[in-house]
Parts: sequence; structure tokens; C-alpha cells
Amino acid sequence: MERERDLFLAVLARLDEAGALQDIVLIGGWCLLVYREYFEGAAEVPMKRTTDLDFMVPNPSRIHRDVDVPLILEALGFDRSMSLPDGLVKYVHPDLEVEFLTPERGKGRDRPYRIDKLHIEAQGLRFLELLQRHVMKTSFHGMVIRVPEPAAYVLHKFIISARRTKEFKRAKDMDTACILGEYLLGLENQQCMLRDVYNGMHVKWKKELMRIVSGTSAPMYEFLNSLEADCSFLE
Amino acid sequence: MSIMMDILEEEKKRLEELMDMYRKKIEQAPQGSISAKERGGRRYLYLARREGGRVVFEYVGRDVPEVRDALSEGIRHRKEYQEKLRQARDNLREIKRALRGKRT
Repeated sequence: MERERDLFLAVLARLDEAGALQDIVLIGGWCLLVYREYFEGAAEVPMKRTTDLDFMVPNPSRIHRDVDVPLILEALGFDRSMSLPDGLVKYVHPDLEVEFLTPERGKGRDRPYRIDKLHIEAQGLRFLELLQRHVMKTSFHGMVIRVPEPAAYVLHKFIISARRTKEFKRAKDMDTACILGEYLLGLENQQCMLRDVYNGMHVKWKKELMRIVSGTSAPMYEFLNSLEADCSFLE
Repeated sequence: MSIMMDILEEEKKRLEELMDMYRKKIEQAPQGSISAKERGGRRYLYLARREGGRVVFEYVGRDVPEVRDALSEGIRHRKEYQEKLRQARDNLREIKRALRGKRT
């Protein structure tokens, strides 16, 4: 795990030096490493992650600088790998796999989005909008990095867990969402953030979330349910 | 614990696919090292490699900078992929060890 971590830090450092890190958001399992540091080493933050290193390019993207990201990754030993026929691009390495994702909007499309200024293609995914709306900046190993607010990360994990086709991925998402979510419920400021993220969600997504949470995390269900009760009271 | 085992299984599959890709890249790259021979006042480039205990020379062409540079670049790539293949093999060995550990 040491080698993966070193490579992960090297990727961040190179992207930071080139000025690309400020325009993209670290998402996926590697965020947990950032959250662990953000919550001052709290052991409650789970550490289950795979070798998939995902970055989100906001949609619409506001890229400040032209950066040849594939060149940076190649210099670190990554190879570009494209899957056919969908044209999805990954950067593969014995220790990690880098992928770029972007929130899908409108009707969606069956091919990746070209991000000219970063010289990459990003795969469109529907629920990433939830993360995009709640991004925070934090310091990590001397760098300023952008990650989703932990509250958004948790609610997003609950929602996408139901869409996973592989059972173990579903279980991993659910496990992470429950453990981290229940930890956040114990922190006052994070409770407020959970409330804000939840209140900002589409009604359809809220319903889906409640259906998933009802069978998996009693404390989270109780908390979200209380928000629903507050809303109906206000109405 | 089974989630971790499934993650390891998936990683094992990923590494096996990656190793196939590296092997193909190595196969496509020039095999051997650059060797030059002079004949009739002209230099010719060969790829020298060991096959079954003896050294064989594969003719490449006239020793001109473009050919030599392309060959060097190809050999550099091959060495990079050989190193990546070694790294992936080491990772796979670790994964298999962890998976075996679960079964015993």
C-alpha cells in the first residue's frame, strides 16, 4: 500500500506544480485519505480503497491553464488505455489506475467528454452533480486540494451503491457510507452540512436515498427523516 | 472481510490484464541491443540478442541517425515495459499471497 500511496502523492504533486489540481476535484476511494487528515487522523474514517484514482472535471469546466495531463501521467509511468467501443480512457500503471469523470447533464451521451485544455477525455456520470455542488478546499501534504464535502461524499455513496452491478462494490460503497456517515452525525458542523446537502437534492434523489438508507443505517435514516419532518412542518 | 477479498480478486484480474498489455508492448518493441558492423566502408545496424545460448544478429539497415534514434527509442520503451511488467508481477504475487492466506 506504501507504493500506491507514494504514487498517488506524486500524481497530486505533479498536477499541482502544473497548475491543473486547482481545476479538478479528487473523488472516489482516495478521498478517504484526505478526509482522515482533515479529521485529524480520526480512526472512524474508513480506509477501504481500490487502485482506482478518480478525478472529477466540473461541468461546465473552468480550466485556468492549458496543461498536458497525459504527458504528466506518462512521465510517472502511466499508459493510456482506451476501451472499445465506448471510447473510455484510463491511465494504467501497476500500482494505480487514473480516470477522469464529469457530471452528466441533460440527455447524456454515449461517448466521453473532451476536455481540450487538459488534453483528456472524461466519462460522464449522472450523480456526480451532487459532488460538484459541494466541493471544499483543504490542505493535504502541503498542497491545496479540492474534494467533495464529506457529507456529499457519503450521500453520493449511498445513492450510487444501489446502481452498482457488482455485489462487492455495492457492499463496499454501503460500508463506507454507513461508517463515515455515522461518524459525521457525531459532529455538529457536519450534521449541518448533511442537512444542507440533503435539502439541496432533487426530490427524486431524496426518495431514492431514503429508500436505500432505510435498510442500511438506522442513525442516518432517523436523521434524514427528521429533516423531512422539519420540512413538512415548515410547509 | 469478504469485501476486501473481492477487492483483491478484482485487483488480481486488473494486474493480469495489465501484464498481457505489457507483454504485447514488449513483443512489438525491438528485441536485443544495438550493434553496428562495418562493411565496404559503410556502417550497418543490427539487433544483437541471445537465442538458445548463441548470439544472433538481426539486420536493421544502414547506420543513419533516424534509424539509430528510432531503434534506441524502441529499446528504451521495451526496457520501461519490462520494468513495469516486473512491478506488476511483484504486485500480483503479493495479491495471490493475500488471497491464499484467506483460504488456509
